[in-house]
Amino acid sequence: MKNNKPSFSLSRRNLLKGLGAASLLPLVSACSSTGLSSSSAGRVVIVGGGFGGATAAKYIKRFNPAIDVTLVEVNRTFHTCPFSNLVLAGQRKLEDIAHGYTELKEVYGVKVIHARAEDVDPIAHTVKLSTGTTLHYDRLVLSPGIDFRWNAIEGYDEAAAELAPHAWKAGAQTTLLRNQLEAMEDGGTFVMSVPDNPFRCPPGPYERASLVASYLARHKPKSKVLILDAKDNFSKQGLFTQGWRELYGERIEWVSLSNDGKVTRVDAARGEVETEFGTRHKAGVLNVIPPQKAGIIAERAGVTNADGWVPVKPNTFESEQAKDVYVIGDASIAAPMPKSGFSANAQGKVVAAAIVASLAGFEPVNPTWSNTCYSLLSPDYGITVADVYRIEDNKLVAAPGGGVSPLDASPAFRKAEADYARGWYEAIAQDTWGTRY
Amino acid sequence: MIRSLLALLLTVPLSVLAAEPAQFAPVAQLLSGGVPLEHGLKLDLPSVSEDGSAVAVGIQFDSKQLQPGDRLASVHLFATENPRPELISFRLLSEHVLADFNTRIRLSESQQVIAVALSEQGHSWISSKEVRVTISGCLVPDAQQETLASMQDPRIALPRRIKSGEPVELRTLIKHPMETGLRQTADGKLVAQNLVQTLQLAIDKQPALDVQFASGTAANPYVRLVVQGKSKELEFRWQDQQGVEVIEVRQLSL
Repeated sequence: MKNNKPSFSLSRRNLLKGLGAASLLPLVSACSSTGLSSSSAGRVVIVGGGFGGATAAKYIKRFNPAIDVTLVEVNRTFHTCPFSNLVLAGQRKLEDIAHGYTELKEVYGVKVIHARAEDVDPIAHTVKLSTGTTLHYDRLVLSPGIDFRWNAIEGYDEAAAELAPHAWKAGAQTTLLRNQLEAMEDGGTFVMSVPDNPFRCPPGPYERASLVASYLARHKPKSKVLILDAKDNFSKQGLFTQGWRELYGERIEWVSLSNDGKVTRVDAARGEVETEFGTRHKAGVLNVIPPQKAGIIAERAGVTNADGWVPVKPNTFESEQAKDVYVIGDASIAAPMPKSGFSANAQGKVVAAAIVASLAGFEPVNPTWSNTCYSLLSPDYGITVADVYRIEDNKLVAAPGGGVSPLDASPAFRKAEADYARGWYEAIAQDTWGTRY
Repeated sequence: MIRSLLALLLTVPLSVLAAEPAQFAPVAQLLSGGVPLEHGLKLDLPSVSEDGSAVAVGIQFDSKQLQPGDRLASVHLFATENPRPELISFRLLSEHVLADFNTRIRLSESQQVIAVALSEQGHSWISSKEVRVTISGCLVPDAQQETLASMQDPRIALPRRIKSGEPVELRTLIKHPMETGLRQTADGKLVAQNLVQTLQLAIDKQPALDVQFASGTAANPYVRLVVQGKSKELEFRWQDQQGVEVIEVRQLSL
């Protein structure tokens, strides 16, 4: 069955085509009023200043500077998850992955409000902020990233995350996990719990395991990494396992779902976990990456589905449930596009084009997206997966020709990909925020 | 006027509607003319799966739907577009087992999953859900991963604490590749079919549950089930296509 819930805007378009009555047109446009104030080119509110939201803000302004763009982001400094595993391994400082909003404000004229968006009324077209302010929008972009399903694993809640960090949102949690890793005694085990799909950054846990192992190899040679996984397969698995054997021998152990890898209970105070079939593991450092869902504001806006993520129309990323609300990045269901910073950036540009077109009364352009996920197995060993995505049959699909790094490549090849990864980071940070903190 | 025109238009589906689940041939055969009820059977599946090789599914029957004196006899799961539609079925042979199961299934592509429950007196219930399967390009299999030829490492998880009279949740898993007979090796040869066929549970020596696995059951067949708290001895018996059996016995003590 295809989606049999027709979208409002599609229906209207079909109606116009079907009737073909020019005399009806003024009437239709009158009643499909967007609430656009006649004096302005439109008001766009964007919630979330990460890869998706900051990119959307900048590109709307680039495409049409007359549009009034307000970006709502609680933090004055944004720390990227990409490259946060290098911070964990002591290869970069936290400030190296910090970005601010000065360029968006000063060069592009984006209004930036540092507050929490607390509620959305999609009928009234308003967003309520933690400061008490209510913002009115013609088009809303939600790019809220993820939130965690606290207690989906017994014993793992916000308080437990202070003892057994997730570090799956970069910043204070990254520092906390880094400090624990440094303080761990030689011989301790770094235990990581990895959730089932879908979750933010599919290759991320395995990159983290690699870079933690690279730190341990130098500083705590008797220590190991134990990955407890709620899956039987993972992103770039063949490449990771080959690289692990080459670089770290037996230092990294991966326990799959079918080998009792799924963590079902956490005792954060004792640094202990229990798996589905009752195996207990004692950690020197315990890193729990919990099951996830769309950022909470998406739930408040009423655009999430029963699985906790946001169904969107693939060509524009407008919510299937609420008109004029666009949802991009990790919160949206864009599969087969992965939940990555690169994807969110690409979606930010497409949504910018769709909104600019829609405010001007044009049809959206037919988009394509690209994504590359770089993973570092060591500072000099990089692997990638790259794909181009397009619309087919009203579905987002991967175009043929994408692919991953080859198996059995030379050290020079892996080193080159690690250099590309660093280049990629500089380029995408420049494209998204344009400025360091 | 425009409003009502729009409303009218909204009722016209833009795309093809799903076939009626009860009309799907294997389901129709099972129902043999009976008209299933659409409430009472809960099918829990994600709307999107990024790995069709193991999709978690939950199935629960609300026993209040039964007439006095009737009891649930079986629960069956089908996939409409898999090469073979059978996913798994559960035959409930005693009152000690509740109709509350979780397992992992294979979905070869985006499709509809249908659950059917039948009672002893011939009543039936149906539930269905669309699942979109998007194989992530990121998945690069590990070529060096071992493939088993026979059943290994049976696992049974009992709750840490059992309260008198309360239902007891059990999880079972046995390692096995569940070869469908449709898979080809790199050099184009078909890998022979090799399935775990059944998991039988006897409670205090009496047959209680018969789980029939199929090619649509995910590798390393997993079953979560719930038994009545008054049960004492549980015997689990897995049997593969060659007739090999693995038997595990657990005592439930308070």
